[in-house]
Amino acid sequence: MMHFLRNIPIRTKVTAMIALASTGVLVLALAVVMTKDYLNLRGDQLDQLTTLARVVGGNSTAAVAFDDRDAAAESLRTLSTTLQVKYAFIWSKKDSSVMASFTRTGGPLEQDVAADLMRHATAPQELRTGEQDMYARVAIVLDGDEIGTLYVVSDLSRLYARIQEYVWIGLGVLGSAILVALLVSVLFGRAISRPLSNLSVAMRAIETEKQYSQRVKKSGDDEVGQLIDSFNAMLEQIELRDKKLRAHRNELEQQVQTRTQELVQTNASLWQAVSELEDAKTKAEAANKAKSEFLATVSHEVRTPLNGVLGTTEVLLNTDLSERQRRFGQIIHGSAKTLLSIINNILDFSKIEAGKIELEMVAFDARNIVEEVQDLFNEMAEKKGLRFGSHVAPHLPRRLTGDAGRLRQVLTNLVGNAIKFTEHGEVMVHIRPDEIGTDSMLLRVEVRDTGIGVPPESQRKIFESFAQADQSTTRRYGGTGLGLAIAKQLTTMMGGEIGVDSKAGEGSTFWFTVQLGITSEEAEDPKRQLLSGIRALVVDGTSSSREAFSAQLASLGISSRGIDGEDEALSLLQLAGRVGRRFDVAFIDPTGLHDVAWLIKEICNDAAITQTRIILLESRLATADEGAEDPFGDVERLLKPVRQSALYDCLSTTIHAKSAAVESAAPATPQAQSFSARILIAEDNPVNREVASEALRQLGCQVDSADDGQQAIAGWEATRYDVILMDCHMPNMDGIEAAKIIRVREATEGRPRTPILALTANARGEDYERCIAAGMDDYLTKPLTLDELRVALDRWVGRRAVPTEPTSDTGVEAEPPIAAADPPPADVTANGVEPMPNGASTLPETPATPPESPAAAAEPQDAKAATAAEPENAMTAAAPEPVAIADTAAAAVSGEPPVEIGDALDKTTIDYLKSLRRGDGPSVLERAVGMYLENAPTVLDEMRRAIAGGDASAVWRIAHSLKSSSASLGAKQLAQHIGDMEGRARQNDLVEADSRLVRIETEFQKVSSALRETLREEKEICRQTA
Amino acid sequence: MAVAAAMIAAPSMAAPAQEANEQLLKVAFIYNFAKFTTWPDSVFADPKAPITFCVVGKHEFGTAFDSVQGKSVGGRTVVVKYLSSYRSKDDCQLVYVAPSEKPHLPKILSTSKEIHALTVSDIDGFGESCGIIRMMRGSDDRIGFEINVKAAAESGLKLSSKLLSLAKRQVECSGS
Repeated sequence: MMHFLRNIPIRTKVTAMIALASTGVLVLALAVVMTKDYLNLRGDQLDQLTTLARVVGGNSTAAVAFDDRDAAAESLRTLSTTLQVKYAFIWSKKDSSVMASFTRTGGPLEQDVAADLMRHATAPQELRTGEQDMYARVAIVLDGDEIGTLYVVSDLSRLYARIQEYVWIGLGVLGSAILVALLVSVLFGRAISRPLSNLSVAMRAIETEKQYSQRVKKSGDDEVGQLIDSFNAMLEQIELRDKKLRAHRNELEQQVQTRTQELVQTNASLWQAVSELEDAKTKAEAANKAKSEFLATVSHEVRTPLNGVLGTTEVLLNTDLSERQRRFGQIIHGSAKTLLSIINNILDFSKIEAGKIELEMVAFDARNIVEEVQDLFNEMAEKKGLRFGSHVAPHLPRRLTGDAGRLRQVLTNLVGNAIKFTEHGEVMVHIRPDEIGTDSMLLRVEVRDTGIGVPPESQRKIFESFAQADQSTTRRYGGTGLGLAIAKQLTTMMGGEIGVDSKAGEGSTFWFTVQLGITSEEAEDPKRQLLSGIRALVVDGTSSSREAFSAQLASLGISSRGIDGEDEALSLLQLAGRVGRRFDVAFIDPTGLHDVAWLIKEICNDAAITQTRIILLESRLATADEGAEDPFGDVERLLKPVRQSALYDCLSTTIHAKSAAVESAAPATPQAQSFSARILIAEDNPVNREVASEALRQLGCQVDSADDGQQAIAGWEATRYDVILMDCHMPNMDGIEAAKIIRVREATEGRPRTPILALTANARGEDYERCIAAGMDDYLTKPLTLDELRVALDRWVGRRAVPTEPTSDTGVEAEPPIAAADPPPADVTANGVEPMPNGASTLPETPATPPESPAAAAEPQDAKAATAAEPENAMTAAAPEPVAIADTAAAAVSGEPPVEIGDALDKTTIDYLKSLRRGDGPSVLERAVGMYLENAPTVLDEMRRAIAGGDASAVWRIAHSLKSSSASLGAKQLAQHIGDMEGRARQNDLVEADSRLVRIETEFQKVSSALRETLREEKEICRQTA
Repeated sequence: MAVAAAMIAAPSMAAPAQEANEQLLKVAFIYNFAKFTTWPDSVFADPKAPITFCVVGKHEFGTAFDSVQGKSVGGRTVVVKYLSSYRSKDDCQLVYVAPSEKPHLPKILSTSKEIHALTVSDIDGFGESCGIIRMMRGSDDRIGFEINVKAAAESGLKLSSKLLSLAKRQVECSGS
């Protein structure tokens, strides 16, 4: 509305304004006059009617009194002459009836009209006006008595006629007023709007023609005139500016032209420069590479003769030489060694420069590296009289992945430098996680020394190639100055930094960080779980070393009490023994104490605490004088600084003493054993079947196989087997069902009992219970290992292995602690315990375990799985949980922790499969991998379809089978992923099954490429050896 | 015709009731006459003095006059007296002369004139005998009356013009 108003022309606005104003005033005035007049007229008429009614009423008094109807009618008739009386009547009180009436039409009075009127008019003398009529009611009174009533009704037609008249007059006046207003507004409006519209037209013309030289003509001196003046002034300004702009533009165009030409020239010369530079860069890179390659080659070539020099010199020094000759020989040897290390550095450096170094990704424990480096430098530190130790943060994850060799190299370099530049005081290695995530972390390593320090101005330079703090240093200490440069390159490659904080003369702290992966927290080493139950006492006079050792124990999960005197130690030990919380082990550092021998004697003599194992912590220096008599007698010792692995091994024997639950089965002569048994293996998974069959053949068995329970029964009927290996989950008829049938038929048909061993993928107790309930004798957990099979066959076929060494009953090792590094081998039959054919293996108790030991309680499954054991025999073979046996077996085979092949495959398993070779035929690895790679994609397709179809039980079945064969080939991660899927599907849970499938498929891609690579290598080796 | 027949038949069928109504109506007329009449102030001893209706002679009203006994006329209470003969000392403001007293008419009228009493009667020629109001049944069978205005004026009474306008006719004294 407002928008519309704004857009209509001014003339119309003025016209409308005048018309609206005049109309408004007129209407208002008319309304007031009309209302006033109407009210007056109505009042007058009412007055007249009332007066008339009073007169007629008075005149009718006698007529009513004497009931003279004619006279009454006569008096009413007088009403006909005046006003618009429609009708009137007299109501007689005496008769309660209308005694006379009058109507203008002359007809009779309608009864209902009278009744209606009487009902309305209640009070005497009251006047009523209706919409159409006006009433008067007058009482007829005689001598104070009301004897009757007169009603008079008049219509208002005259009044309405009057109003109508007014309306017509009003409309007439209004019309003419609007006409006049229009006329006036047209005249005035033109006067206002014409100059404006003239101006508007002129402006539009200027706008379209862009003729700013035009001027608008002025018509008056009012506001519009001023507007026109301003507009003209503005036009002048615009004209002026236009001229200036035009001039400026011309100037600019010229400038641009000049500049463009300049740019074209510059561009051309730049292009030339760039191509020249590119050429130069290519040449320089080629030259640098050539130089590095040359260096690498030369270094390599130089090393060969140098090794010759070294070797020859060593031989020479062993011959009979004069003192002088020997000194010269030693100088030659020393110089050659220095030269070799320099050349090695140069070789490393040039390799890095040439980009020839690739980082490995292996799993390792950083603690081992620290200990190895410590071993390397212990002797040198001792020679210089330096304290040399390390501290590893307890929460540092155990399983890290990265290039352990390069990490060792950097640490070796820093520690070597520190010892080299420190004349007295100490060198400490600190290692801790800096930023720790779920699958990766930043490891921070610090090497602190109290050496000569690095002046601030050199602190950055020393990490540059061929630089040392100053040239005199080079002369005094030797070295190429390449070590730190290499360290810097290596840490950078490993995603970290290197640096130094130092004050000259006060020592320095060299530190570096590297990015390492954390392998998914493997199942906790059962030994570690057991270790956590050990109660240890640390007796050490020096609080710092006591605390450091306690921290070392804590990192193994062992809680310890520290104490600083012999008396206090003894009383604490005795107190603990009395309350039934005996300490399992007491570590005693004799250096700060006075009478350790007394303490040891007291402990041995107290029956309550004699069980406590005593371990002396001795420094290498103290043991140096071999000749002196050992004051402490035949006591276990650990060398300080104590290596974590040595401590671990040492404590493991304590666990053996406490519990029989953990045992690594590692027969002394694995390959020597042979069983001439006939064995039936019922297993539906072809990969597993193939692997197990081959393993059994390796053990000298004759093997038949069955795909399901029915085939197994058929095989059992046809042949007398020594042992049947039966998978629990099979199609058609599962192993449990088959075992039940076999047992029933053995009983009814009088056939000899065949041992049946269950094969299960789940180590859960319930499976075990079901198998035993079905009449099976024992169970093996998949994936099967050669050792497990050997142990099982040993037990059930009856061929005895040759026992290696009997072990101590008490578990206290009399040998030096180093010997404890090898876990004492043991075998169930070695201890003379005959296997019981049925169910005896469920004997869970191992009474040798002290009641307070948490170990037995912590591992009920182990306890349950433990085979029968004599109470006092602490060392018995057990069937531990699968992960444990895989790891320990692996350790036994390779002698080092399991190594993953590119994450996807477990190297131990692959090696094991490779080892299962029969004569000149293809290895089991080849066949198993072939089968797996052929079948798995189809199986995965089936799984995908089952997930899409929401068939949880099918998903479960497929996953179970695939998990089993994946685990057999060492694809642990894949097996774990599939296991997740299996577990969920078993509970009918297919939520997120799609994302799990994606994980499985991704992992499968890794696994299959790793397997192909393995196969390729295997074939290569076969070809070469053939 | 049917209406006329009914009207004729009605009195014969209910003669006693009709008779009583007729008497009541006549009393009402007499009472109303008083209302339209103005007496000289000297007639009443004081403003609160009652107004006395005297019924002279053997009348046929029975108890009809009881209906006006105690009512008021111009603020005065009506008192009805029954007189077998009429004497001047009787203080009457309105005198009804029963037909039985026709022989004593001149005497009654002259006495009345002296004491400013309004005279009413059913006697034929009452007005011509200088009586003031005579009631009679008119041609339309309704009760009507005739008035001798001159006689009223001679008695010192003022009759309302409204009453006069209702009179069937006005009469004057004949001869004596």
